[in-house]
Amino acid sequence: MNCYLSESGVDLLREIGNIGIGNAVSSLSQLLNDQRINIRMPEVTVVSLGELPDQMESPEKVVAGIYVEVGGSIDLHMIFLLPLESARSITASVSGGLVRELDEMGLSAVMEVGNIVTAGYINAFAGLTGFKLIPKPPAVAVDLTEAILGSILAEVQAAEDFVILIKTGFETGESDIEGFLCMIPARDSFEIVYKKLLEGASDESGAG
Amino acid sequence: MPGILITDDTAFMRMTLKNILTKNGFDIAGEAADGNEAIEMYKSTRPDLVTMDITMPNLDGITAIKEIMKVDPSARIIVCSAMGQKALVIDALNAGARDFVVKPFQPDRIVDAVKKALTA
Amino acid sequence: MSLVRVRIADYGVLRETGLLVTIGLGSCVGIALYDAVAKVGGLSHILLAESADFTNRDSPAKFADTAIPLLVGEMEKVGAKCGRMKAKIAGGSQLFNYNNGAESIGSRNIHAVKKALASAGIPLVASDLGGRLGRTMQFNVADGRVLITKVGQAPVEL
Ligand SMILES: [Mg+2]
Repeated sequence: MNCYLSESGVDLLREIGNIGIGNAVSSLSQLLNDQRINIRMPEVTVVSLGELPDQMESPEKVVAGIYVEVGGSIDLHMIFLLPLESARSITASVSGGLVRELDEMGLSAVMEVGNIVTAGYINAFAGLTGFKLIPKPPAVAVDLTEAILGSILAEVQAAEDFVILIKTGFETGESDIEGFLCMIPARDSFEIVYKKLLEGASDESGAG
Repeated sequence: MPGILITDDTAFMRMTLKNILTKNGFDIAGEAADGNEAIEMYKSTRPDLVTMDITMPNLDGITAIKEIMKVDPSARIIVCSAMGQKALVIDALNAGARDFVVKPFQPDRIVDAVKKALTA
Repeated sequence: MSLVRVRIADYGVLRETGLLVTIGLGSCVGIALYDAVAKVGGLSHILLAESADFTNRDSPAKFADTAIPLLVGEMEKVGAKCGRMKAKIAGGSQLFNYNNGAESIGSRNIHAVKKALASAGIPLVASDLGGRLGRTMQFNVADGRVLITKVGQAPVEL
Protein backbone atom coordinates (compact mmCIF):
# COMPACT_ATOMS: atom_id res chain seq x y z
CA MET A 1 0.00 0.00 0.00
CA ASN A 2 1.06 3.52 -0.76
CA CYS A 3 1.81 5.98 2.02
CA TYR A 4 4.28 7.98 -0.01
CA LEU A 5 4.09 11.73 -0.11
CA SER A 6 6.50 13.59 -2.40
CA GLU A 7 8.29 16.74 -1.30
CA SER A 8 6.13 18.89 -3.57
CA GLY A 9 3.06 17.17 -2.12
CA VAL A 10 4.14 18.06 1.39
CA ASP A 11 4.82 21.68 0.32
CA LEU A 12 1.40 21.93 -1.24
CA LEU A 13 -0.38 20.60 1.84
CA ARG A 14 1.67 22.88 4.07
CA GLU A 15 0.58 25.84 1.96
CA ILE A 16 -3.07 24.78 2.23
CA GLY A 17 -2.57 24.47 5.99
CA ASN A 18 -1.06 27.96 6.10
CA ILE A 19 -3.87 29.60 4.21
CA GLY A 20 -6.49 27.59 6.07
CA ILE A 21 -5.24 28.35 9.57
CA GLY A 22 -4.67 31.99 8.63
CA ASN A 23 -8.30 32.45 7.70
CA ALA A 24 -9.56 30.26 10.57
CA VAL A 25 -7.59 32.31 13.08
CA SER A 26 -8.83 35.60 11.66
CA SER A 27 -12.38 34.31 12.28
CA LEU A 28 -11.42 33.21 15.79
CA SER A 29 -9.79 36.55 16.48
CA GLN A 30 -13.01 38.37 15.51
CA LEU A 31 -14.95 36.05 17.82
CA LEU A 32 -12.53 36.90 20.64
CA ASN A 33 -12.90 40.68 20.24
CA ASP A 34 -9.89 41.07 17.96
CA GLN A 35 -7.39 39.40 20.26
CA ARG A 36 -4.01 38.80 18.72
CA ILE A 37 -3.51 35.11 17.94
CA ASN A 38 -0.21 33.49 16.98
CA ILE A 39 -0.11 30.65 14.48
CA ARG A 40 2.22 27.68 14.75
CA MET A 41 3.79 26.50 11.51
CA PRO A 42 1.74 23.78 9.81
CA GLU A 43 3.19 20.28 10.04
CA VAL A 44 2.43 17.71 7.38
CA THR A 45 2.96 14.08 8.33
CA VAL A 46 1.91 10.63 7.24
CA VAL A 47 1.07 8.76 10.44
CA SER A 48 -0.26 5.35 11.35
CA LEU A 49 -3.62 5.30 13.08
CA GLY A 50 -1.99 4.28 16.37
CA GLU A 51 0.47 7.19 16.25
CA LEU A 52 -2.15 9.85 15.53
CA PRO A 53 -3.06 10.66 19.18
CA ASP A 54 0.62 11.18 20.07
CA GLN A 55 0.75 14.00 17.52
CA MET A 56 -1.44 16.10 19.85
CA GLU A 57 0.61 16.55 23.01
CA SER A 58 -0.54 14.20 25.78
CA PRO A 59 -3.16 11.73 24.58
CA GLU A 60 -4.45 11.24 28.14
CA LYS A 61 -5.35 14.92 28.47
CA VAL A 62 -9.03 15.89 28.60
CA VAL A 63 -9.96 18.18 25.72
CA ALA A 64 -12.98 19.52 23.87
CA GLY A 65 -12.99 18.02 20.38
CA ILE A 66 -15.03 19.19 17.42
CA TYR A 67 -15.27 16.97 14.38
CA VAL A 68 -16.51 18.19 10.99
CA GLU A 69 -16.93 15.94 7.99
CA VAL A 70 -16.62 17.86 4.72
CA GLY A 71 -17.97 16.79 1.32
CA GLY A 72 -18.54 18.47 -2.04
CA SER A 73 -15.74 18.59 -4.62
CA ILE A 74 -13.56 16.42 -2.35
CA ASP A 75 -13.95 14.62 0.98
CA LEU A 76 -11.98 15.63 4.02
CA HIS A 77 -12.17 15.66 7.81
CA MET A 78 -11.54 18.58 10.14
CA ILE A 79 -10.58 18.13 13.79
CA PHE A 80 -10.51 21.06 16.20
CA LEU A 81 -9.06 20.32 19.66
CA LEU A 82 -9.15 22.73 22.59
CA PRO A 83 -7.79 22.16 26.10
CA LEU A 84 -10.69 22.49 28.58
CA GLU A 85 -9.51 25.82 29.95
CA SER A 86 -9.29 27.25 26.45
CA ALA A 87 -12.77 25.96 25.60
CA ARG A 88 -14.15 27.62 28.75
CA SER A 89 -12.38 30.92 28.01
CA ILE A 90 -13.66 30.97 24.44
CA THR A 91 -17.20 30.19 25.60
CA ALA A 92 -17.12 32.99 28.16
CA SER A 93 -15.73 35.39 25.58
CA VAL A 94 -18.18 34.69 22.74
CA SER A 95 -21.16 34.78 25.10
CA GLY A 96 -20.12 38.10 26.64
CA GLY A 97 -19.67 36.33 29.97
CA LEU A 98 -23.15 34.75 29.94
CA VAL A 99 -21.93 31.16 29.57
CA ARG A 100 -18.95 30.06 31.67
CA GLU A 101 -19.33 26.30 32.00
CA LEU A 102 -19.32 23.55 29.40
CA ASP A 103 -22.95 22.66 30.09
CA GLU A 104 -25.44 22.23 27.28
CA MET A 105 -25.31 25.89 26.25
CA GLY A 106 -21.52 25.94 26.72
CA LEU A 107 -21.06 22.94 24.42
CA SER A 108 -23.42 24.55 21.92
CA ALA A 109 -21.18 27.64 21.95
CA VAL A 110 -18.07 25.46 21.48
CA MET A 111 -19.82 23.72 18.60
CA GLU A 112 -20.66 27.02 16.89
CA VAL A 113 -17.11 28.30 17.37
CA GLY A 114 -15.92 25.01 15.82
CA ASN A 115 -18.33 25.53 12.95
CA ILE A 116 -17.07 29.07 12.30
CA VAL A 117 -13.36 28.30 12.71
CA THR A 118 -13.37 25.17 10.52
CA ALA A 119 -15.47 27.07 7.96
CA GLY A 120 -12.75 29.74 7.90
CA TYR A 121 -10.22 27.04 7.06
CA ILE A 122 -12.21 25.32 4.34
CA ASN A 123 -13.47 28.59 2.84
CA ALA A 124 -9.85 29.60 2.27
CA PHE A 125 -9.10 26.16 0.84
CA ALA A 126 -12.13 26.50 -1.47
CA GLY A 127 -10.96 29.97 -2.57
CA LEU A 128 -7.52 28.60 -3.43
CA THR A 129 -8.78 25.68 -5.47
CA GLY A 130 -12.15 26.80 -6.81
CA PHE A 131 -13.69 23.77 -5.08
CA LYS A 132 -17.06 23.82 -3.43
CA LEU A 133 -16.55 22.38 0.07
CA ILE A 134 -19.65 21.65 2.09
CA PRO A 135 -19.35 20.75 5.78
CA LYS A 136 -21.79 18.66 7.77
CA PRO A 137 -22.90 20.04 11.13
CA PRO A 138 -20.14 19.69 13.72
CA ALA A 139 -20.10 17.02 16.41
CA VAL A 140 -18.63 17.88 19.80
CA ALA A 141 -17.27 15.81 22.69
CA VAL A 142 -15.31 16.43 25.89
CA ASP A 143 -13.02 13.53 26.72
CA LEU A 144 -9.48 12.13 26.49
CA THR A 145 -7.67 13.15 23.31
CA GLU A 146 -7.08 9.51 22.40
CA ALA A 147 -10.75 8.57 22.90
CA ILE A 148 -11.85 11.49 20.71
CA LEU A 149 -9.35 10.75 17.95
CA GLY A 150 -10.13 7.02 18.02
CA SER A 151 -13.82 7.77 17.66
CA ILE A 152 -13.12 10.15 14.77
CA LEU A 153 -10.93 7.57 13.02
CA ALA A 154 -13.78 5.08 13.32
CA GLU A 155 -16.23 7.63 11.88
CA VAL A 156 -13.75 8.27 9.08
CA GLN A 157 -13.92 4.48 8.65
CA ALA A 158 -10.16 4.57 8.29
CA ALA A 159 -9.83 2.03 5.53
CA GLU A 160 -6.16 2.89 5.22
CA ASP A 161 -3.60 2.19 7.92
CA PHE A 162 -1.98 5.59 7.46
CA VAL A 163 -3.52 9.04 7.22
CA ILE A 164 -2.15 12.33 5.94
CA LEU A 165 -2.32 14.80 8.79
CA ILE A 166 -2.06 18.55 8.24
CA LYS A 167 -1.67 19.90 11.76
CA THR A 168 -1.89 23.57 12.58
CA GLY A 169 -1.94 25.24 15.98
CA PHE A 170 -2.56 28.64 17.51
CA GLU A 171 -2.24 30.48 20.80
CA THR A 172 -3.27 33.86 22.11
CA GLY A 173 -0.77 36.14 23.78
CA GLU A 174 -2.72 37.39 26.79
CA SER A 175 -5.48 34.92 27.57
CA ASP A 176 -3.68 31.57 27.23
CA ILE A 177 -6.12 30.17 24.72
CA GLU A 178 -4.54 27.50 22.54
CA GLY A 179 -5.66 24.70 20.27
CA PHE A 180 -5.06 22.50 17.28
CA LEU A 181 -6.86 22.55 13.96
CA CYS A 182 -6.16 19.51 11.81
CA MET A 183 -7.22 18.37 8.39
CA ILE A 184 -7.21 14.77 7.19
CA PRO A 185 -7.97 14.56 3.48
CA ALA A 186 -9.69 11.40 2.28
CA ARG A 187 -7.28 9.26 0.31
CA ASP A 188 -8.49 10.09 -3.21
CA SER A 189 -8.89 13.75 -2.31
CA PHE A 190 -5.20 14.46 -2.06
CA GLU A 191 -4.59 13.39 -5.64
CA ILE A 192 -7.45 15.58 -6.89
CA VAL A 193 -6.06 18.61 -5.06
CA TYR A 194 -2.57 17.91 -6.27
CA LYS A 195 -3.69 17.71 -9.90
CA LYS A 196 -5.90 20.76 -9.67
CA LEU A 197 -3.27 23.03 -8.14
CA LEU A 198 -0.11 21.80 -9.82
CA GLU A 199 -1.64 21.65 -13.24
CA GLY A 200 -2.93 25.17 -12.62
CA ALA A 201 -6.33 24.49 -14.11
CA SER A 202 -8.18 26.63 -11.57
CA ASP A 203 -10.71 28.89 -13.27
CA GLU A 204 -11.75 30.59 -10.02
CA SER A 205 -9.10 33.13 -9.23
CA GLY A 206 -6.93 33.59 -6.19
CA ALA A 207 -7.33 32.95 -2.53
CA GLY A 208 -10.27 34.82 -1.06
CA MET B 1 -46.71 41.38 14.86
CA PRO B 2 -45.28 38.10 13.54
CA GLY B 3 -41.63 39.27 13.67
CA ILE B 4 -38.51 37.32 12.75
CA LEU B 5 -38.02 33.56 12.48
CA ILE B 6 -34.50 32.59 13.57
CA THR B 7 -33.03 29.44 12.02
CA ASP B 8 -29.78 27.90 13.26
CA ASP B 9 -28.85 24.41 14.43
CA THR B 10 -26.88 25.59 17.46
CA ALA B 11 -28.82 26.83 20.47
CA PHE B 12 -26.01 29.25 21.24
CA MET B 13 -26.30 31.04 17.89
CA ARG B 14 -30.10 31.22 18.20
CA MET B 15 -29.65 32.81 21.63
CA THR B 16 -27.10 35.30 20.25
CA LEU B 17 -29.31 36.31 17.31
CA LYS B 18 -32.36 36.59 19.54
CA ASN B 19 -30.49 38.89 21.96
CA ILE B 20 -29.24 41.14 19.16
CA LEU B 21 -32.63 41.39 17.47
CA THR B 22 -34.75 41.94 20.57
CA LYS B 23 -32.30 44.58 21.85
CA ASN B 24 -32.87 46.41 18.58
CA GLY B 25 -36.63 46.34 18.92
CA PHE B 26 -37.56 43.39 16.72
CA ASP B 27 -40.08 40.71 17.70
CA ILE B 28 -39.18 37.04 17.42
CA ALA B 29 -41.72 34.89 15.61
CA GLY B 30 -39.98 31.66 16.55
CA GLU B 31 -36.77 29.60 16.51
CA ALA B 32 -36.07 26.72 14.15
CA ALA B 33 -33.19 24.25 14.60
CA ASP B 34 -33.04 22.87 11.05
CA GLY B 35 -34.41 23.43 7.55
CA ASN B 36 -37.50 21.28 8.08
CA GLU B 37 -38.50 23.18 11.20
CA ALA B 38 -37.95 26.47 9.36
CA ILE B 39 -40.35 25.48 6.57
CA GLU B 40 -43.01 24.29 9.03
CA MET B 41 -42.69 27.38 11.20
CA TYR B 42 -42.75 29.64 8.16
CA LYS B 43 -46.09 28.16 7.17
CA SER B 44 -47.56 28.40 10.66
CA THR B 45 -46.24 31.81 11.75
CA ARG B 46 -45.82 33.69 8.43
CA PRO B 47 -42.91 35.77 9.79
CA ASP B 48 -41.86 39.14 8.34
CA LEU B 49 -38.35 37.82 7.83
CA VAL B 50 -36.27 34.67 8.25
CA THR B 51 -32.61 34.41 9.27
CA MET B 52 -31.27 31.21 7.76
CA ASP B 53 -28.18 29.17 8.66
CA ILE B 54 -26.79 26.88 5.94
CA THR B 55 -24.99 24.04 7.72
CA MET B 56 -27.70 22.20 9.65
CA PRO B 57 -28.74 18.56 10.17
CA ASN B 58 -31.74 16.96 8.43
CA LEU B 59 -32.27 19.74 5.87
CA ASP B 60 -29.71 22.42 4.92
CA GLY B 61 -30.50 26.12 4.67
CA ILE B 62 -30.23 26.49 0.88
CA THR B 63 -32.79 23.74 0.30
CA ALA B 64 -35.01 25.30 2.98
CA ILE B 65 -34.84 28.69 1.21
CA LYS B 66 -36.02 27.08 -2.04
CA GLU B 67 -38.91 25.37 -0.26
CA ILE B 68 -39.99 28.53 1.56
CA MET B 69 -39.88 30.51 -1.69
CA LYS B 70 -42.26 27.95 -3.20
CA VAL B 71 -44.68 28.51 -0.31
CA ASP B 72 -44.34 32.29 -0.45
CA PRO B 73 -42.46 33.85 -3.38
CA SER B 74 -42.32 37.19 -1.53
CA ALA B 75 -40.61 35.67 1.56
CA ARG B 76 -37.82 37.79 3.01
CA ILE B 77 -34.88 35.59 3.90
CA ILE B 78 -31.35 36.56 4.87
CA VAL B 79 -28.61 33.98 5.26
CA CYS B 80 -26.44 33.99 8.35
CA SER B 81 -23.75 31.35 7.86
CA ALA B 82 -20.03 30.70 8.18
CA MET B 83 -19.96 29.28 4.65
CA GLY B 84 -18.74 32.40 2.86
CA GLN B 85 -17.56 30.50 -0.24
CA LYS B 86 -18.41 32.36 -3.44
CA ALA B 87 -20.21 29.39 -4.96
CA LEU B 88 -22.44 28.97 -1.90
CA VAL B 89 -23.26 32.67 -1.65
CA ILE B 90 -24.35 32.56 -5.28
CA ASP B 91 -26.43 29.43 -4.64
CA ALA B 92 -28.18 31.10 -1.69
CA LEU B 93 -28.92 34.32 -3.60
CA ASN B 94 -30.18 32.33 -6.59
CA ALA B 95 -32.44 30.35 -4.26
CA GLY B 96 -34.06 33.61 -3.14
CA ALA B 97 -32.04 34.96 -0.20
CA ARG B 98 -31.91 38.77 -0.05
CA ASP B 99 -28.62 39.08 1.79
CA PHE B 100 -25.76 36.96 3.06
CA VAL B 101 -24.13 37.70 6.41
CA VAL B 102 -20.95 35.72 6.99
CA LYS B 103 -20.15 34.48 10.49
CA PRO B 104 -18.45 35.75 12.54
CA PHE B 105 -20.42 38.98 12.30
CA GLN B 106 -20.72 42.24 14.17
CA PRO B 107 -24.23 42.78 15.64
CA ASP B 108 -24.59 45.94 13.49
CA ARG B 109 -24.15 43.93 10.32
CA ILE B 110 -27.12 41.70 11.19
CA VAL B 111 -29.31 44.62 12.26
CA ASP B 112 -28.53 46.53 9.04
CA ALA B 113 -29.27 43.48 6.89
CA VAL B 114 -32.60 42.90 8.66
CA LYS B 115 -33.64 46.55 8.35
CA LYS B 116 -32.70 46.68 4.69
CA ALA B 117 -34.55 43.47 3.85
CA LEU B 118 -37.67 44.61 5.72
CA THR B 119 -37.88 47.94 3.93
CA ALA B 120 -37.09 46.63 0.45
CA MET C 1 7.35 -3.96 36.45
CA SER C 2 6.93 -3.54 32.73
CA LEU C 3 4.22 -1.34 31.30
CA VAL C 4 3.13 -1.85 27.72
CA ARG C 5 0.99 0.78 26.04
CA VAL C 6 -1.43 -0.62 23.51
CA ARG C 7 -2.36 1.91 20.84
CA ILE C 8 -5.31 2.13 18.48
CA ALA C 9 -5.43 -0.90 16.14
CA ASP C 10 -2.68 -2.64 18.12
CA TYR C 11 -2.24 -5.32 20.79
CA GLY C 12 0.18 -6.38 23.52
CA VAL C 13 1.00 -9.65 25.31
CA LEU C 14 2.75 -10.11 28.69
CA ARG C 15 3.55 -13.11 30.90
CA GLU C 16 3.79 -13.44 34.71
CA THR C 17 3.87 -9.73 35.52
CA GLY C 18 3.36 -6.24 34.13
CA LEU C 19 0.64 -3.84 33.07
CA LEU C 20 -1.02 -3.67 29.68
CA VAL C 21 -2.54 -0.21 29.28
CA THR C 22 -4.74 1.32 26.63
CA ILE C 23 -5.64 4.99 26.98
CA GLY C 24 -8.86 6.48 25.78
CA LEU C 25 -11.22 3.92 24.31
CA GLY C 26 -14.04 5.88 22.71
CA SER C 27 -16.07 3.92 20.20
CA CYS C 28 -13.12 1.50 20.15
CA VAL C 29 -13.27 -1.66 22.27
CA GLY C 30 -10.47 -3.01 24.47
CA ILE C 31 -10.33 -6.80 24.79
CA ALA C 32 -8.38 -8.30 27.73
CA LEU C 33 -7.79 -12.06 27.45
CA TYR C 34 -6.30 -13.94 30.39
CA ASP C 35 -5.05 -17.48 30.95
CA ALA C 36 -4.79 -17.63 34.75
CA VAL C 37 -2.89 -20.96 34.74
CA ALA C 38 -0.11 -19.83 32.42
CA LYS C 39 -0.39 -16.24 33.73
CA VAL C 40 -0.47 -14.90 30.20
CA GLY C 41 -2.43 -11.77 29.41
CA GLY C 42 -3.19 -10.09 26.11
CA LEU C 43 -4.86 -6.75 25.37
CA SER C 44 -6.20 -5.64 22.01
CA HIS C 45 -7.58 -2.19 21.02
CA ILE C 46 -9.90 -2.53 18.03
CA LEU C 47 -11.18 0.38 15.93
CA LEU C 48 -13.74 -1.23 13.63
CA ALA C 49 -16.15 -4.17 13.65
CA GLU C 50 -15.85 -6.45 10.62
CA SER C 51 -12.85 -6.80 8.29
CA ALA C 52 -15.19 -8.06 5.56
CA ASP C 53 -16.52 -4.50 5.14
CA PHE C 54 -13.10 -3.28 3.97
CA THR C 55 -10.82 -4.13 1.06
CA ASN C 56 -7.61 -3.25 2.92
CA ARG C 57 -7.11 -5.81 5.69
CA ASP C 58 -3.37 -5.26 6.17
CA SER C 59 -3.74 -4.73 9.91
CA PRO C 60 -5.78 -7.51 11.48
CA ALA C 61 -5.51 -5.82 14.91
CA LYS C 62 -7.83 -3.08 13.63
CA PHE C 63 -10.97 -5.23 13.30
CA ALA C 64 -12.82 -7.20 15.99
CA ASP C 65 -13.17 -10.37 13.93
CA THR C 66 -9.47 -10.62 13.01
CA ALA C 67 -7.94 -9.08 16.16
CA ILE C 68 -9.17 -11.81 18.51
CA PRO C 69 -7.73 -14.81 16.61
CA LEU C 70 -4.49 -12.82 16.22
CA LEU C 71 -4.29 -12.12 19.97
CA VAL C 72 -5.12 -15.73 20.87
CA GLY C 73 -2.35 -16.95 18.55
CA GLU C 74 0.23 -14.56 20.04
CA MET C 75 -0.71 -15.61 23.58
CA GLU C 76 -0.44 -19.29 22.68
CA LYS C 77 3.12 -18.65 21.44
CA VAL C 78 4.11 -17.82 25.04
CA GLY C 79 2.33 -20.72 26.70
CA ALA C 80 -1.35 -19.80 26.97
CA LYS C 81 -4.13 -22.16 25.92
CA CYS C 82 -7.24 -20.82 24.21
CA GLY C 83 -9.44 -23.23 26.19
CA ARG C 84 -8.34 -21.64 29.49
CA MET C 85 -8.80 -18.01 28.41
CA LYS C 86 -11.40 -15.67 29.85
CA ALA C 87 -12.31 -12.26 28.43
CA LYS C 88 -13.02 -8.84 29.95
CA ILE C 89 -14.00 -6.07 27.57
CA ALA C 90 -14.60 -2.31 27.78
CA GLY C 91 -15.41 0.60 25.48
CA GLY C 92 -17.86 1.02 22.63
CA SER C 93 -19.20 4.36 23.80
CA GLN C 94 -20.62 7.20 21.74
CA LEU C 95 -18.69 10.38 22.50
CA PHE C 96 -20.11 12.59 19.79
CA ASN C 97 -23.62 13.96 19.87
CA TYR C 98 -24.84 12.49 16.58
CA ASN C 99 -28.53 11.89 16.28
CA ASN C 100 -28.82 10.28 12.88
CA GLY C 101 -30.72 7.25 14.18
CA ALA C 102 -28.21 4.74 12.81
CA GLU C 103 -26.57 2.18 15.10
CA SER C 104 -23.46 3.80 16.58
CA ILE C 105 -20.00 2.56 15.66
CA GLY C 106 -19.40 1.74 19.34
CA SER C 107 -22.45 -0.47 19.45
CA ARG C 108 -21.45 -2.24 16.23
CA ASN C 109 -17.96 -2.79 17.67
CA ILE C 110 -19.40 -4.34 20.87
CA HIS C 111 -21.55 -6.78 18.88
CA ALA C 112 -18.64 -7.79 16.66
CA VAL C 113 -16.34 -8.38 19.67
CA LYS C 114 -18.93 -10.55 21.43
CA LYS C 115 -19.48 -12.53 18.24
CA ALA C 116 -15.74 -13.07 17.73
CA LEU C 117 -15.26 -14.17 21.36
CA ALA C 118 -18.13 -16.63 21.02
CA SER C 119 -16.72 -18.13 17.86
CA ALA C 120 -13.32 -18.55 19.56
CA GLY C 121 -15.12 -20.22 22.50
CA ILE C 122 -13.79 -17.70 25.03
CA PRO C 123 -16.20 -16.86 27.87
CA LEU C 124 -16.89 -13.18 28.56
CA VAL C 125 -16.66 -12.77 32.33
CA ALA C 126 -16.88 -9.00 32.81
CA SER C 127 -17.49 -5.87 30.79
CA ASP C 128 -18.02 -2.11 31.00
CA LEU C 129 -19.60 -0.93 27.78
CA GLY C 130 -21.47 1.85 26.00
CA GLY C 131 -22.51 5.21 27.39
CA ARG C 132 -21.09 8.61 26.42
CA LEU C 133 -17.62 8.54 28.04
CA GLY C 134 -14.20 7.35 26.95
CA ARG C 135 -12.36 4.73 29.03
CA THR C 136 -8.81 3.88 29.99
CA MET C 137 -8.07 0.20 30.65
CA GLN C 138 -5.23 -1.12 32.86
CA PHE C 139 -4.75 -4.87 32.80
CA ASN C 140 -2.57 -6.37 35.53
CA VAL C 141 -1.13 -9.60 34.14
CA ALA C 142 -0.02 -10.87 37.58
CA ASP C 143 -3.60 -11.41 38.73
CA GLY C 144 -5.87 -10.73 35.75
CA ARG C 145 -7.50 -7.67 37.29
CA VAL C 146 -8.66 -4.93 34.92
CA LEU C 147 -9.11 -1.35 36.10
CA ILE C 148 -11.36 1.00 34.13
CA THR C 149 -11.19 4.77 34.51
CA LYS C 150 -13.50 7.35 32.98
CA VAL C 151 -13.20 11.14 32.97
CA GLY C 152 -14.66 12.55 36.18
CA GLN C 153 -15.66 9.16 37.62
CA ALA C 154 -14.29 6.78 40.24
CA PRO C 155 -12.35 3.82 38.77
CA VAL C 156 -14.17 0.50 38.38
CA GLU C 157 -12.54 -2.92 38.67
CA LEU C 158 -13.50 -5.74 36.32
MG1 LIG D 1 -24.95 25.65 11.66
